[in-house]
Amino acid sequence: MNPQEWDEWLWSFLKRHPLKDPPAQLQRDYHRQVMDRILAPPIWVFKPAPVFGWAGALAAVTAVLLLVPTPARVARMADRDSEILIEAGELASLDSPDLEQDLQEHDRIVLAKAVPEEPDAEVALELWNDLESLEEAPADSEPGSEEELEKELRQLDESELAAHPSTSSG
Amino acid sequence: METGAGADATGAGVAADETEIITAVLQGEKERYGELVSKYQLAAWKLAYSFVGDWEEAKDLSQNGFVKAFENLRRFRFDSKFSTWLYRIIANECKDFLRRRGRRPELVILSGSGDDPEEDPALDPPDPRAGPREAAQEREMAGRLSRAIGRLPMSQRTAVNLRHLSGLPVEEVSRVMGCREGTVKAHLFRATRRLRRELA
Repeated sequence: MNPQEWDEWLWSFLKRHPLKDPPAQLQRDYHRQVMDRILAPPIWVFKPAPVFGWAGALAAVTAVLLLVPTPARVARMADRDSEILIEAGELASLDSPDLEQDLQEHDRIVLAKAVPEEPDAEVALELWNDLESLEEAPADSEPGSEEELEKELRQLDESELAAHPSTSSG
Repeated sequence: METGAGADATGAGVAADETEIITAVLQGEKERYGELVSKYQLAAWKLAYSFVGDWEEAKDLSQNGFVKAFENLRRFRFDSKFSTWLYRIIANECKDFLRRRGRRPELVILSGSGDDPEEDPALDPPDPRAGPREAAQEREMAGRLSRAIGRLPMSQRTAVNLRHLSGLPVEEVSRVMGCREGTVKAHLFRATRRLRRELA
């Protein structure tokens, strides 16, 4: 049999022996199953836009999860509310009545790291050390520590700032 | 119900009744999609079977193809037949499935091959006019051919499935495979040469 005859034989053979039909028991519900899927009420399925892809979708989900207020995060936020942040530049207004009130209302004082180039840096570092030493004293063991703190701060107002009149100019 | 994928293989565009059905479905008459399912379900199922060699899996894959075609019906351009578009979706489903599974079936069951354990040769003679000896030879050849087609490289196998098992014209095979007609012919030529060598 030459190649051409063989080809003709092959295709005529395949015509005589087409693929078998699927088993009858499987055929019964084929149509209904397809239509059930098509006519079923829509179920929301997350399909990320092609421009972002799955990596973008994953990043978005991660970002959302990070923003969800877990109990630990809520506690941290509440804690942060009880702090007062004093930046080095604000030291100039340490004598203001607002700051005094702030100190009474907040549990902690957080002093921002002083920038060495700043003229107030030296003062800021001294204050930082002083305030840290005040904070380290446990409140329970020292009743009236808030009063002590205020007293110390007033002393700082008078002594330290008086020694550096340039800081009071702002 | 169609009995083969090529049963509707006339003309290049969408038949008027299919255009009407698709338009109605797009306008909200989803139930009418059932008419297309009825028309092509057997051909679609057999096409999937020719790839995966398992009726249950072929059923799932071809049904997925119908659902995907429905979900993307708005993207269907009426410049090709609906069946061509559907077969392309199903062929891609099958190839993805085989890639995920990591191996190909080495057997598609041709009628009269005797490879199907449920098949009773007495009820399905290869050729009613043939004698018992010829019938046995024919059955043996059908079995060998089934296995040889199963061992073809994927592109050749796809071309053979679509052209000779599903009965599509070369032009439609090229649309389903997404390549030129010349490429389809080359796949068919190589497939034939390989089958000839294996069955010699």
